[in-house]
Amino acid sequence: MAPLLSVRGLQAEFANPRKLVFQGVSFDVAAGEVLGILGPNGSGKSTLIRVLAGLMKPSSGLATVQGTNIGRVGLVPQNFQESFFPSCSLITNLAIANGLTRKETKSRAEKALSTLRLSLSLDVRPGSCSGGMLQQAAIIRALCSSSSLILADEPFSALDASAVLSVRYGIRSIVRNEGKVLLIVLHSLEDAVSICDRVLVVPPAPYCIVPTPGCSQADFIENERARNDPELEFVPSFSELAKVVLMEGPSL
Amino acid sequence: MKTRPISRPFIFLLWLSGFVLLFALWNAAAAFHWVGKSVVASPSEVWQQTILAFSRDATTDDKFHLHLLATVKRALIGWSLSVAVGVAFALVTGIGQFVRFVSEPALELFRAIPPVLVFPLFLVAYNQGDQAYIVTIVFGCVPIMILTISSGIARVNPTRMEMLAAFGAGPAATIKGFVLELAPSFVLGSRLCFSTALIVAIVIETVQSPPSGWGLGNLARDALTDFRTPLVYVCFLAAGLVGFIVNMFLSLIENRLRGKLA
Repeated sequence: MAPLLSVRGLQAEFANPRKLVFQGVSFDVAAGEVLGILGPNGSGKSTLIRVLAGLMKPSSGLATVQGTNIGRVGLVPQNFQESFFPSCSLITNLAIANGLTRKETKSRAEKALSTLRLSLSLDVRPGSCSGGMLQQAAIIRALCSSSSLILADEPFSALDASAVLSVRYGIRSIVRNEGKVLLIVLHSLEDAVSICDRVLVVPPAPYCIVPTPGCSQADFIENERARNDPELEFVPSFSELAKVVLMEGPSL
Repeated sequence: MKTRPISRPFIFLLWLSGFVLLFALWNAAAAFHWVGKSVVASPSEVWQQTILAFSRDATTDDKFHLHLLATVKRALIGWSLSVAVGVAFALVTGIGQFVRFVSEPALELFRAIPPVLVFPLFLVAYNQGDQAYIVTIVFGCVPIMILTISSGIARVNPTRMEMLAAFGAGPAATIKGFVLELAPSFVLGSRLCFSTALIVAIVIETVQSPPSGWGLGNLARDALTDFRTPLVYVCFLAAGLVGFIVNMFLSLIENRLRGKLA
């Protein structure tokens, strides 16, 4: 099956001061697939999301959706609190971003809220919402998008444990049923195991894709216990740890 | 320090008590002659003068509403031109970095020049016509509008604009987002601009009477020369009231604008 999202030889660098963020990133993602992006702080995960969202120009390489350049995306930004117009209600914010009428936005949002099992009122202004509520609204906004590509940068960072569980399940179900692609930046290996089909590990180099289906929750817990056991000498690098936890897979 | 929330009726009561206190002090200052009689007129004198100023059989000098309307008209024309010129210029300087750097020093220089100083020049340039008054008001107000809108543009939240770009929002949604971001600076600039327009209009009217002879500034100046202090106070109160009403009107526009966009 032809991939929905195709990334080839992507390279990004900051201009001032000049600094290479990542290079040679290539991967394909099929419709209905969730690809996690894992890596230590400063490894370029968020920059990769910004490049794919069209907010930063890559210095080389190409990213396409169904063979054409990426146009609109559904985005859950890392600084989600600042992404809402404070003078408008959440539903208006969702409508403005997606270029939809309030009625259509409401219908899409209610459907997404029900799948994610969230009870969030969208008629309130951002100022009266907690961080968790705003992050839920940011996720719903991305899911209301007509785009087949959803990019989420640490979308669970402000959610409580029960919301994380239902959102993980709900997002995965929407992506599968609607044939979308979700690229999700995560810090928690547990989240990666639960939601992702594969994980792109972004250490300085080389980049590798690790499949997750073979990894059970029990393996994960066992590895976590081993890592935390002071009697065992288990101090792996981030990529080694990710590979151990997610089950070692073929590198690209 | 912990602050207890104050209920709205209590806030209104506090405002009212402020007015009552001011009124009481004013009354006492007039009754006990704390300052010279030619400086402080009593509230009752001012009230009588207000009735006289608006009465039908008032003499030409006291046709207060014509003086008031002339000043408000000058301030409004000057203010509208300043807002239009200021917004257009601020958009060019705010969006184009190059133009901003070129115009910034000149703008800061002009902002520091009191409009009343350049008023005589404009009087000569416009042959003492009413245009000289309007141009002086614009000279005083445009830098305020440009600076408030420019700082508003500089403070536009990049995350929100990036969000619209990532979601592929069309030009209409992007403009809507931009207007939502700029609305507070626009209203703030407009308010400051109108206060300045009114002040400049009155000040330059006191310097030189307009060709029509109507103007709050020259009325107040003549009244003071003739020791008609209560009339001067009526001028003060009228100017304050006009500023207050326009401010309320602009707040209403701001709320309606936000409501429409939301």
